[in-house]
Amino acid sequence: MNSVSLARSRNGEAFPASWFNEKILMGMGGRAYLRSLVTPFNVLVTAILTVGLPLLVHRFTAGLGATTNLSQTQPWGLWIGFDMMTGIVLAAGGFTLSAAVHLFGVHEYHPIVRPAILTAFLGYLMAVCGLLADLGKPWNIIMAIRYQGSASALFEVAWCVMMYTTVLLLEFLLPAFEWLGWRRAHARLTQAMLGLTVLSVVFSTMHQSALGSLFLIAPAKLHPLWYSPYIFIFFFVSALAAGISMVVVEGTLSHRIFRHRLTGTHVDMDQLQLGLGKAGAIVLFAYFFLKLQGVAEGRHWELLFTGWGAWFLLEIVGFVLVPSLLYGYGARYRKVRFVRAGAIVAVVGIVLNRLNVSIIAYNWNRPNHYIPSWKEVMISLTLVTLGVIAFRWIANRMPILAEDPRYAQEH
Amino acid sequence: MYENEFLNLYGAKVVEYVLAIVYLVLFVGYWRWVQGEKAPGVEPDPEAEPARRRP
Repeated sequence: MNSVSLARSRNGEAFPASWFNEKILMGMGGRAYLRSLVTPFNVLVTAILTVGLPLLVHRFTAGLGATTNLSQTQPWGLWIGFDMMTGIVLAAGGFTLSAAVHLFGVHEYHPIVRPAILTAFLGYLMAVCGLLADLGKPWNIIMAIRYQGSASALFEVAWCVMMYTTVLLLEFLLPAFEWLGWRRAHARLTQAMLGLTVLSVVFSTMHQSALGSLFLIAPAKLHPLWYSPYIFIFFFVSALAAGISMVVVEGTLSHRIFRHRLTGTHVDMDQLQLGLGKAGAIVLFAYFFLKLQGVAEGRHWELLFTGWGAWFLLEIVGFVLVPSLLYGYGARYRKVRFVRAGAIVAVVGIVLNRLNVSIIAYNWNRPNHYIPSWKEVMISLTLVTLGVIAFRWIANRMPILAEDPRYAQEH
Repeated sequence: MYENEFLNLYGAKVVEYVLAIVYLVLFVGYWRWVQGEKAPGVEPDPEAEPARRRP
């Protein structure tokens, strides 16, 4: 059935049909819109979802044993290490950038706050979905609200993730209201933005570090090169670096993919990314020395000459110091390509760090080390794919990459 | 009696402090390099600059 006639039959007037065509089908007719969906990217997405979504249903019907290689000694696997830990740290661009713009007054970065917030919101939703898949009894997630385990780092993470996801939803509603044309709701929300930004910084600071604190109770399980009593500081500082790097990577990709959506005021993306490069260089440089302090504090210098030491050095030199220098070189000599390359290497490095801490170097000395099953990998890939297509669907319709000029005076 | 370990200057702490000092020194240099600042004393003479450009 044609979507236009569907809208007419439900509402009995022409207005909803044109609204549906304009807002949902991006100004196209039903058939033209369906034809526009046939692209190589969408074929790939369909193939992934065709396998992944039934697997997700299989996980909730058949249980963890049927879908994962998790065990009593390795209760945390890919869904915690990748979807939760990595999803959340890569979403740090939302609070990093909104704090820089709304709290510290660096207003030139205002045009790239919305994509960062949308990325953060979808990243947190992906993390929550991964967590629900990982919990043996997902319905028990409500226990974090019912029982006050205030001495637990996991309790802090649970509450902060709940709160921050709510804050991100509210921040995301601003472009959604512009898209819907709800002026009154938009004006109310605009007034609340400063408060929401303060809350986002508070909640993010608390749980980005608390995710590292989760490992403070496992000094015997985590390899000494990655374990440190300062691990929560490492998690927070690396989250700042991840946020800056993700904003550069996501900005580069979205400005190429959604170029047709960039109307109105021109944003000098190269200039913004050079500025982010300076910040990234400094934060990663500090993070590199903090990691060395962790080794010094634990007196583990001799472990650097083992196989695990080589892996650790690859992480902190290859994926922390090298991107810092790439950022620095690019920012100093105004070569934005180096900044972008540094951002990609830094993002890979932060992902590697979270996987090292939660999977690779965790239970490092036990036989039969955990390797995720293909079903776990496929479900993770499905969740990432859902996040990507959600970003594309929203960015193609709502004023994410460029603000609606009719609302400009309210910001 | 227990010794007050806080006041003992044992090896690991020396390494940590040395590392922190090295970091601070390098950080200042790195910060200036990233910002594109020149080290003090190596600023070009503004009067010599036009003279050099003369054919």
